[in-house]
Amino acid sequence: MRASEREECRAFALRWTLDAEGAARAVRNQMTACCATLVKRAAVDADDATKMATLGACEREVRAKMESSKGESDAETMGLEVFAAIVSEFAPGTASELGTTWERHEGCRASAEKHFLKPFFAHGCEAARRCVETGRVSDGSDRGACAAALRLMNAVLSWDFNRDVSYGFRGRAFPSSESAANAFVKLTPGMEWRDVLLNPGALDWLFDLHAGAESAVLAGGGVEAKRVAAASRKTLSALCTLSGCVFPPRDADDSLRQGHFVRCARAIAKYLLPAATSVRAALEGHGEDALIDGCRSMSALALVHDANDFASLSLGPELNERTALDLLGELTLECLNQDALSVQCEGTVTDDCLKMLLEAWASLVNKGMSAPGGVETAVPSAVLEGAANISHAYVVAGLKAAREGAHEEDDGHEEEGQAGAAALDARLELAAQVLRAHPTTTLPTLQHVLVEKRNSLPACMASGQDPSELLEELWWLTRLAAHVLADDGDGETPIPPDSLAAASAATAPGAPNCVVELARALIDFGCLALDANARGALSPRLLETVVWALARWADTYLIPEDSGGSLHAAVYAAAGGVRRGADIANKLAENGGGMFSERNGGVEALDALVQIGVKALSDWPGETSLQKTIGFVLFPVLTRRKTLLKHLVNMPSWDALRQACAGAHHERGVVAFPPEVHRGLSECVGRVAASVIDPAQCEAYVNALITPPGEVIAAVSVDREGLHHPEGEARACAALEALRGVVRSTNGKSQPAVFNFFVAAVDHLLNLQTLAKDLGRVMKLLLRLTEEFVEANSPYLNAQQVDWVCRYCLRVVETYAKSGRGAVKSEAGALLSQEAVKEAYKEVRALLRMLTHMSSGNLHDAIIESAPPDQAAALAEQIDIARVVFAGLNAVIPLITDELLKFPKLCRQYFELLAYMLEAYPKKVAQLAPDLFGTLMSTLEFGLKHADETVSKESMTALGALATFQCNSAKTQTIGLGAHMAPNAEGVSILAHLMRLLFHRLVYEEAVFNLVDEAADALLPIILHERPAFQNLASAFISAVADEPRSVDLLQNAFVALTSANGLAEGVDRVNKRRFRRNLADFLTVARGVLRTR
Amino acid sequence: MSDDEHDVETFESADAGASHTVPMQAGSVRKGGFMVIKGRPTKVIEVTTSKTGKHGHAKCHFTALDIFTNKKVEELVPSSHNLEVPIVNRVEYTLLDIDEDDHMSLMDDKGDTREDLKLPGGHAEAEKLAEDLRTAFDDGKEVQVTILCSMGIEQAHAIKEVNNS
Repeated sequence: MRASEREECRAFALRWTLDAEGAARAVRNQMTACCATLVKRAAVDADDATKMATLGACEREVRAKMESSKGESDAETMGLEVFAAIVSEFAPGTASELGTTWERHEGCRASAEKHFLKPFFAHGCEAARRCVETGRVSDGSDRGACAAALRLMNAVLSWDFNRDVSYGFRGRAFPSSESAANAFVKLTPGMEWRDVLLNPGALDWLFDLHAGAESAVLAGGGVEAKRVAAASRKTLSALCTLSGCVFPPRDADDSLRQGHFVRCARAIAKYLLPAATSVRAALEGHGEDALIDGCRSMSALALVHDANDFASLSLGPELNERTALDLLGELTLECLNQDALSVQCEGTVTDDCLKMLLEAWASLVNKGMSAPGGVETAVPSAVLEGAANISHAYVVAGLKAAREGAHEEDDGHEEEGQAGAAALDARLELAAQVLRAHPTTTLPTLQHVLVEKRNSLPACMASGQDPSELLEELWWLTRLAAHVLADDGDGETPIPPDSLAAASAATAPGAPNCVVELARALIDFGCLALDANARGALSPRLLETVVWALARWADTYLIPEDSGGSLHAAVYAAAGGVRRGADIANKLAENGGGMFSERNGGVEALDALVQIGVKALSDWPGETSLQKTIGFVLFPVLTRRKTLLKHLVNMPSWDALRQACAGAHHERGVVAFPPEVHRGLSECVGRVAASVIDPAQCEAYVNALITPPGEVIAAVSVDREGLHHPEGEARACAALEALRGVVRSTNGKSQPAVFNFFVAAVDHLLNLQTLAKDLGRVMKLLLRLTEEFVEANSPYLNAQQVDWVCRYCLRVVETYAKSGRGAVKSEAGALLSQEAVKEAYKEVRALLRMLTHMSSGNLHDAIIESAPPDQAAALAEQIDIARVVFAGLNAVIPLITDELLKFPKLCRQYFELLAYMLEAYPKKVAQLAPDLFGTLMSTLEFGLKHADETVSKESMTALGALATFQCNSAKTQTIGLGAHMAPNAEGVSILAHLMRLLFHRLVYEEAVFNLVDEAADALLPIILHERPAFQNLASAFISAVADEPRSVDLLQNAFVALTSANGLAEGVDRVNKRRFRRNLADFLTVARGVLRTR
Repeated sequence: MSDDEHDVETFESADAGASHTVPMQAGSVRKGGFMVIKGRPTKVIEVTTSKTGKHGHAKCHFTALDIFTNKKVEELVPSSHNLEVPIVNRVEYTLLDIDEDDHMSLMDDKGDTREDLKLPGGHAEAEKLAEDLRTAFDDGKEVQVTILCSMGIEQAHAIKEVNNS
């Protein structure tokens, strides 16, 4: 369309919109959007002046219409609607596609932000204000203009001011989603917005309007009143998220910010107080949105503003001088009183609101710790006390909800699986932050309730009453207590939460320490499992949570490596609280290393925990979930740290666990617990070997653990009948899982024993593999075992051992390929054959992983290090890892069927390995047999076309490695890929073929910008090496647009720039690669624009 | 046995009545394992655990497929109780012939032959397998037949073409 046509079109759309009074709302909305799109389209190519002219023309038309109709038409409303639509059209997040490049969208955004966003806002303000002041809102004679004006203001306020202006260049066009982690986005306009948003009086009319509209709704106002109320509430919410440099710096003049805060909080208070009324209204179904918006705004205010503001600034005499903190407290208590914690309320309005209010509390109480700039400001005591009040109410409400939910037949969390449990934990974690705020009052409460409930358990059992309610209360309390006491370390070294550490340090010597007391109560509770008379009272579900809670606690507190607290002090100091951190460290050191250190009962507690674990394994038969918690949560925590291992090795209770593990394999008949628990337990027991100092003793320790399952393997590997007997199969599985556990626990000390075991057992294992060809489970475990064996042992091997491992792995792969698994052509039953495919997937994946572990540098390094430097190369040549891996691949590739490639993990695994091999051993690739090379290249082609990002990237890396090798060998006049580079049927080499493929994908397909860097690295060496093929490709692209001279020019220039811009030189070095990445991104922006939008 | 189960071509072998099953704790029967449900050998395709009430003992809920009829069956067992696990064997034979009333002539790896088994049938997937078997055999390919034996029942279960070239 020509510009003049577009202009006509736009004018028509606008006129129609303004005139069509009777048209249906949907049609008018559509027309407004269309008009906005056309304005945007005109703006895409225009400079700033033309843009302003276009907008000016629109405005003139609106005004003309308004004047001609003298307020008797919807022109004003519609004009405002059009402007609102234009604003959202200019915001990149909500813009229509327009088939144009990101950069142009970005240009529109930037000029809008600079030139007309503020005038639009002012215009909206002005219009709304006029409506209010002339009283047309209240009598409804404004024909929706006020709501429309507010909508325009909202459209401006939802503008994303955060955007980095340089964004959108270099091809990485899409912002990551992580920045929106918060439920709301902070509104951060620049300081030029200060006058319209913050000046006292600038927006007062809005707050009044809002209050008026809310009361109109409550008084049963009509649709229009509701619309105004909703729009003004939205504006208010947006204002609550206001932050950043729009406020003057705090140390200069804080009154603007405080004034704004008070106005916002007062507005929320006016419509949500009394809390009982608003919460009840929400529960009854009218006013849900109002409550949710209010709570969200509170949470936004808490994040943006200071705790001090909440505690000290009064909201004014008409609200009885309440503070924002009072408001927050009243709302939270009311939600808790309305059973927000009960199962029935899950997902309802009170549940959501409570979550947001607790978030507000959490950000208030955490202010002291995360104060920016390293200056620590104490949280006002009013906030801490408020949090303590909320905590007590939370515990009471939670217990009530637990009692009421105790008789739910199914406990929901199991039905929803881990997602349900994780949701509950997330909720408790949030509450825990509030409960920790004032530990000296909340922790003792928790402890008293826990002890009291626990003590009433025996009586309840003895009386024959149904203990469900009590058990459920205890269950909830235990879980909450664990959350309060410790964070989940999540892979990091867990340290006590700051407020608890400070509370411990502040405790006078000899006085009860609230943190320790609560922990004691927990351990004491767990010890019920050791008491034969009381044990029956503990239900599996309760015990599981107790064990989980103890594990969580132990991870943070039990014999911390750093018993002087210096780690904590260091962390604290890094966060800016130097003095307080050092204080805590000193205090802890005075008390003999703090709570549950080596000298303060830590060892006894460890012993108790092990005993509880062992008892729970043996005395709750069939409770697999409980057993898994012990094997995969409790014992791993206890065997993670050196200080704990040192004590475990001599502990009789630990010995009992070792006996139990070994004994399970000796028993004929039923294996006591599920096979995977064997793995978990063996791994934990195996880890302790690291702390056995004497090598002979260490070997004996490992042997005692590894021999019993080894004997089982030896027995079944020569007994086909026995293996195919269900009992034999079950024992073999258990034994294999146990071996896996031991292998995974391999460390420097236990490695010789583990390795020797494998050398001795190799024939049994291979025999078993042959016999088990129709036993999917055994086969899977066997392959996983080999894979893990290679992985765990590779750091410790010498050259002979590497040689042995290579030969062993090759035999495993060959035996597997020979067994014909995965080659079953048709099997009775679709479901069964699906299962067979899944089994094959797991097995092939294990093989691929094994090959990947072999190719990792460790084995190669082992060879180099174990020989004198002059012989190392020869030795590496002799033990040719690459040859073994390629031989393995040769055997495995035929097993990878189309069906298996549908499993993303397998696909990734394969291409990861391929990329690595091509990168590390290009010479060996050159020596491959033509058919194997052909197979590898066709898989590479598959990978380059794959939709999965990782797979594509890995394939590109692989291609780049191969091309670089070829490019470099051409330079040094060596043979390179040699015969593999022979032209194919189309007369091009394999590299040129793959280059064309890659270019086509980059230019024509969706979502390629994340691939640009890897693609550039792959393309640069090919382009340098295959000049003629590249020329041909370029002319093919150009001839596709031959009918449009402008496009031809653009494209030609782009191709020239691709190979010459930014000082790109010959050669594949780091600098050139970086330049080429930039060139390719620029090239794609143009080429995709020209070639794709047609 | 119900009527429709009679439709399935099966063969009661001579040792019927000997112990075909072993007991095993329900909690240790895994997905992919076998168990007896309502007197039939089945393969477990899904196990979920639940509890009687919130604080009761764990129960395993098994979803399984009858290994001969492919019918889906379900069972609920307290996880500390024992259940019966069938002994399942697979034997591979080379297919020598298919006679006019659908009996297969099979040879094991020791060279012994048997002719007492019919082509599989009774449900769609078994019919499909029989079809495949017959097609492969008619094409002159060498076919390996896997016979599944459990609880005194034997039935062709899978086929594999042996590539001689």
